[in-house]
Order: sequence, then structure tokens, then C-alpha cells
Amino acid sequence: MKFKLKYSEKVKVIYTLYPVISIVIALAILSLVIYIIGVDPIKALYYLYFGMMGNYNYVSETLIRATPILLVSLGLAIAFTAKVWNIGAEGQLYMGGLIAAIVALNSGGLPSAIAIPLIWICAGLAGAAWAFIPAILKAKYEINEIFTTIMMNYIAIYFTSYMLHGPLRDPVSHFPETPTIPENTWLPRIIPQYRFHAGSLFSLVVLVPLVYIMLSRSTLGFKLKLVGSSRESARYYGVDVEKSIIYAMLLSGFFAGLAGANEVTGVVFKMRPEISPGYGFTGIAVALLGRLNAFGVMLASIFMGGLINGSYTMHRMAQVPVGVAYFVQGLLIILVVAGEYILKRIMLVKGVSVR
Amino acid sequence: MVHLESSKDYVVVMKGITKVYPGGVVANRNIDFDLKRGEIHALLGENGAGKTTLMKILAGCLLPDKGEIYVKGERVKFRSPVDAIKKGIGMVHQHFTLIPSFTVAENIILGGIGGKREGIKLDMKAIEEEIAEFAKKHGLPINPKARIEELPVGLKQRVEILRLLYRKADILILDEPTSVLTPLEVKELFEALKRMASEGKSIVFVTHKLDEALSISDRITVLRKGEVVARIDNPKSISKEKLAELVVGRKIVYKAVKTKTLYDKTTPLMEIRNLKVLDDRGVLAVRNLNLTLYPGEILGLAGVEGNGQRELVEAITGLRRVEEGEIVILGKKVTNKPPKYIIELGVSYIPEDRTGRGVALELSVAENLIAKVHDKTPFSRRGILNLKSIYSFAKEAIEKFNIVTPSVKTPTMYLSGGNIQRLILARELSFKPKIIIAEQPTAGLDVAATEFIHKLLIDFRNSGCGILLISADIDEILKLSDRVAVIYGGRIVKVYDEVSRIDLIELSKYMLGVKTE
Repeated sequence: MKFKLKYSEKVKVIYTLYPVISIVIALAILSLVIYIIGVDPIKALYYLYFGMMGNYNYVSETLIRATPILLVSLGLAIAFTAKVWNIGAEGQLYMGGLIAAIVALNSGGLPSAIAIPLIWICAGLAGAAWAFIPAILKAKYEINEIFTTIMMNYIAIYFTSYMLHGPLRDPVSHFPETPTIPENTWLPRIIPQYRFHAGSLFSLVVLVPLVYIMLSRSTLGFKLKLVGSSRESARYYGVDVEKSIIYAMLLSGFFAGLAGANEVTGVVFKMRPEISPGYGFTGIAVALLGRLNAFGVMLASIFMGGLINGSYTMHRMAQVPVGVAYFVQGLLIILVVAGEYILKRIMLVKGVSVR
Repeated sequence: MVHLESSKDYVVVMKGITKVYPGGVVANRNIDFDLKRGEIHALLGENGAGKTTLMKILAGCLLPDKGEIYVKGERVKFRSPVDAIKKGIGMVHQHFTLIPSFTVAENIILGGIGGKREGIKLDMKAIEEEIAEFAKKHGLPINPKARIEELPVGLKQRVEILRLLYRKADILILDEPTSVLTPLEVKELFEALKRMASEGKSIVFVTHKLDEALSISDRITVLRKGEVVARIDNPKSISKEKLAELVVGRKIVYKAVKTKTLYDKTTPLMEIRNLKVLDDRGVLAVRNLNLTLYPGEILGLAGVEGNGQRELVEAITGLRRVEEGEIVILGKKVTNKPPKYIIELGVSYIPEDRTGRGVALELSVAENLIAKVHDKTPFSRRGILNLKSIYSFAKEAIEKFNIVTPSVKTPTMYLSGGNIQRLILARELSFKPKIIIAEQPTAGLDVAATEFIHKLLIDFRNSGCGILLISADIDEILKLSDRVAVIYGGRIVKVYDEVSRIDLIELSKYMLGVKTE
């Protein structure tokens, strides 16, 4: 009996620490791969760490890189709580970015305090509108949202590309991109000499706690949790399941749209075809790694931002391909999804409760 | 004691059987059990006493952790049900294992037809004739060409038994065989069992019903909490009260007192008129159904499973679309209104599917308790949950309804079935319901929990609530109801206004559709 208690306690500790454990396992596998391609893994990992947070500038860059991922994954945490599988954050981000650029280019003369919130809200609404199509298909006709959202990504990305090659193209640029947006629409920087901007600060300090409260303390969050746990029970409890699915999808689209606005107004200052190197997909891994908890998602997105930046440093200094960031990301999805499922099974059989 | 295992009279001897499930539940603790040739031996006990576990071990479905089994004088170790059937042991499980789209004959020969006929070609015609003959010989006549899904439950059970006999089983285990049958079918089953016993078959009759054990068995073994508490060699010598005490282990404390007729026919709580509802396949399951529920009554809905009960309940609670007709609750038309509207009128619903519908398993006990009222004060204000009042309400409910849980925050999936049902009751009965729809409220629960629920339902009836009780257990319907309505083929075929005057055989005939008004 005593042994059993200890065993179950152990499983509980493993479950709590599992996101960290899966990161360690992923990095271990990464080291092995680096070793196989003929690079000293210790050296490579050192540069990876250095590129993440070797000095204040790298920290600032990591936070900037983490912000669009954070925004996307906060939204996905909301959708995934209701078990609405929005894989379309990438497309929603592009639509957000496109609308952000259009509004910014036409906001000449507006004071920053009005222009920037206006741009962000319009971008969020654009992302939500893009998510509304799969949402309504899912809620009314039970069409699998995974397929529709994936396909909507392509439509958004190629539509953006068309707009940038055509109507929105900067006539003086050699690239298919919009003109630079006016300076009154640029996000202000917070610390002199560092690029860390108001969009990052706002996301970390305001949006993270807001989403946390929404998911754990609000009636809306409660409804989403109910729908996610069991649609059948939710219906029986009097929850409007269709409406909840639509809300979950719209909110996650809104946040993905904000991520687009963040890149346009805080980092690139124009809209480009390669505005996102897959933040919409990285957000999926981050939302799961952060266990759909806003603060967990925050830590996971900072880690992932750092990993992307660190992989560039690793590439420059140790000649390891840049793709390793996405390699680790893929490993993490598998480790987190499979590992947590297995641990939950073990805990269910052994009757340990986790919360 | 003589060595039973080598005696010719004893076909089964189990010694010191112990079975521990993962998670540490001891289902069987050092159990001795024996079965004589040609006897009907009742294995009596509450739900959860370990009866099914013990019999699954005998039938080769489970491996014991300790203990020895002797069959016809020979020590055996079964690795699968196939090993057991080779020794002549077969079990009819509570949930049937027939293939619905196959015919009776096809299901019976699934285990093989044996001998030289096991070739490439299957001569179904010859086999069907043979099976018809075989069934008749055993006093269990059946049409071998009928498809299983078209058969009533009683006949499905008959096919299960025939299948075992066809595979030459002479030791039959029947797990709660009467739980799905009408009184008429029970009578038929008992006659068939007695006949088989007189022909030399040995039968284990697993049940939790005292009357059945007393009326049919030659001997009774009583299990309680995984242990043998009594062996009764002569059931005629024991009174029902004494036996009840052995089964439960204590005197039952809850006593439900039903006051005299309360209901008043002038002000109906709920009226259902010409209701038509489709089932999941799009076939009419409720056809022109009319039913009225009055305040202060328990209206029992008797019927064989699958005659439209589920669709009727879902239509009332707003979970299923109504095609035609109307439902009026407290003077308001609720046809095709959302579930929330109906909940807020004061309609409580205790669903049959407790884990799939009655609770959200991933959510905590407290969350499930307030799920229907989470958007009302004091549980939330302006869209923000008030955790303090949620937890204090949950703690009160846990105490009042004896829900055993480590804490209010424990995910509901870690609760036992009985405690999940208590949780559902706590939620459905805590907010002053006017109508209670109780669907199989005590299925699978032990005697104490059943009595607890019966008392609650009667108390609510006494205080003016209208209760629609849907139950497969006729005894429960007769015990609790003020009126009984019989449903068959999606219609109410008979309403009894006086429960004491019900003729059980007539009731069965209505339930089986043999008789209509």
C-alpha cells in the first residue's frame, strides 16, 4: 500500500514536470542528430543558449520573436480548451497582417494612441472573420474544422501574395511588399537601444493575465471547458454548443490576427509575403506545451522564440542547419501529445488525481 | 471436509479464489464455491459484491490471482473462454455478445459446427433445420432464420443459451438474466432452467434479487464485499428478511413513506399530445404519443428497452427535435425549445448514460455540481465565476448526498459509478425541481444506494413534484409509481391508474405488444 502511494506520487510529479522533461528529451535527440552530422553537440548547444539569452540584446530579440507566437498560442489555447482544432492560425495571421498594413497606410495624420489600437482591432477582426467561415461550417454542418482551417491557410497566404504583387505593391520597391507604414503607426520601443516594443509588453502584461482569467474564472471559459470535455454533457447542461464553438474559433482567429498586426506595426513596418515563418503552426506546439494555460503558454512561447533565434546563432557559429528549430518543434508536439496521453492513462488506472 | 474436488457429484469446485483489480480493489477474497451436477445454484449479492468477477474467472474471461479450480474432478487453468467451453462451461453475460446483423443460426454456429462439416461450403439450410430441431428439443424454440436485431431481448437471451448448449456446455452461468426481461419472460426462463437442470445440466444463477434466488435455486451462496458470507443448502428454511440481512450486512435504514394519493388531475404539470419523434436512424421512434403528468405523482413508464423511451425523454428535455405534436410544461409550450429553457422551467433530468451525458468526466466534482447554474448568482456575477460560493455549495452537496471524493476539485472520472450517480442526484435535486425525469435511476447500484434514491424520489413526490420514472426494473416501477403507463412501439398502450390492481401477466402482454387496448 505504501509503495503504491509513492508510485502514484511519482507519476504525479512526472506529469507536472512533463513539459520540461519533453524539452530535455527533444534537446537530447537534437544533440544526437548534431553529433551524427559531425558537429560537437556541446559547442552547438552553447551557441543555441547564447542566441537565446546570451546578453540583454538577445533577451530582447527572444521576446520580440516570442510575441507573435504568444499571441497565436493564446488564441489557440482558447480554441483547444473547447476541443476546437483551429489549424488555421497562420492564415488568420496573414489576413490580420494584410488588414493592419492597409489600415496603417491609410491612417496618415492620426495620433499614435488612436491609430495603433485601431490597426490592432481591425487586424483582430480580420483574423476572426477568416476563422468565421470554418467556424460556421463546423457548428452548423459538422464539417471537420481541421481540414477547412488548413485549406483556409493557403487561400489567405496566396491572396496576400496576390495583393502584394498587385494592388498593394510598393511601386519603388524591388520586392513584392507594401510601402513602409507611416511612423505614427509604429509601436513605440520601451527601452532605448533595444527593439523590445510596446506590443510585446502589452501581450505579456495585459493579454496573458486576461486570457488566464477568461479561461479559468469566466462563465465563457467554463462553457468552453464543458464543451471540450463532453459535447453531449454540455448540451444536457443547457450550453449552446454551436455558439460556444463559434466563439472559440472567433477568439482564436482574433488573437492570430493580432499576431499579424504585431509583426507589421512592431517589427517589419510593412506587409510582406513571408511575414510569418510559420508562427501559426508553431503556436500549436506552444499551446499544447503550455497545457492550454495562459502562463504556461507564455513560458513555452518565450522558449520557442529563443529556440528560433538561437538556431540562427548556432547556424552562424557552429554550421548547424537553421531547420533544427522546427525539428525540435516537431519532436515536442509528438512528445507532448503522446507522452501526456500515456501519463494520463497511467494516472487514470492508478487513480491519481491531477489538477 | 471430504475432498469435494474428487467427488463425482461436484462438477465445479473453486478454492481460495482471490482477485485484485489494478488500483487495489479486492473483488474476490479467498472464495470457495462449488456446484453440484444437476442443480441450480444461486450466487446472490449486491452490485459490486464480486459475483460477476467470480463467474468470469470460472468462465475463463479473467485470471485469478490466487486459488484453484477443479472441473469434473480435474484441476484446470483457463487462459480464455475457449478453454472453459472445452470443459463444458459457458456464460451468458449481462451484455449480450451476439452479432446483431447475423441470423440466429449464424450466431449459434459462430464457435464452429465441429466434425467433418467444417469445410469450405456452409450448408446453411441443413444447419438451420438442425438448429430448429435442437432448440425445440431443449424447450427453447426459436426461428433460426430471424436476424438478431429484430428479436426482443428475451429471445436474444434464448439464443445466447442455445449457443452454449450447441457447443455442448453442461455448466451454464447466467449473469443477472432477468434484469432485462418482463415478468412473463422471466416465468418462461425459469421453466426452461428447471427443465435443463432436470436433464443434468448444472446452472449458476447470478442475481441480486432475493425473490428470484429463493424461488428457483436448490442452493444459495451469498457474497458480500468480495467474500462468502453464507451458504444456504435449503433455501426453504430461510426467511426473506434474514436473507436480506445477509446480503446487505446491516438493516436498511432508509424507509420511504409514501403518503396517500396526492395527485390532482385538474392541474397537469406536463402534457404531451400526439408526439412524433425520430430516432438516430431517422425512423419514427415515438408515434402519436399522449401522456400527462400531474403534480405529486410518480408516473412509471414501463416498457421493454428500445420502444421509444429514450427518444421521448430527449424530446421532453429539448435534446431531440420533435417532428409533430406538442409538449406543454407548466402551461408553456416547450416543443423544440433549447434545453436551457426547459431546465429553467424547473425540469430536472437524471439520465441513464451517467458518464456520457450526466457528467463531464474531465471536469471537477464542483464544476459538475454547478454546471447547470454556473451563470446564475451566487455562482457567478457579470460573467466571472465566484469560486468561493461554488466550492462551499459543492462541499454542502457532497455532505448531504454522501458523495465519496478526495476533494471538490477532483476530476469526476476518478469517482466510482455509485458516487457519480449521487453527484448527478445532488445537482438535479438541489435547485427545487418541479418535474423530475428519472431514467434508470438505480441501475447498477447497491441496495443501500437504491433505497436512498427511492426515498429521495418519494420525498420529492410527497412535496408536490411530478416524477416520470423510466425503468427496466418492473419491481422498481411497481414499488414507486402512483400510476403506470406502458410504452410499446412508441405509443402509450395502457395506463394503469391503480398500481395495486395490476395483473403482472397482463402488464407483460402490453409490454411485449401482444395485447393492445
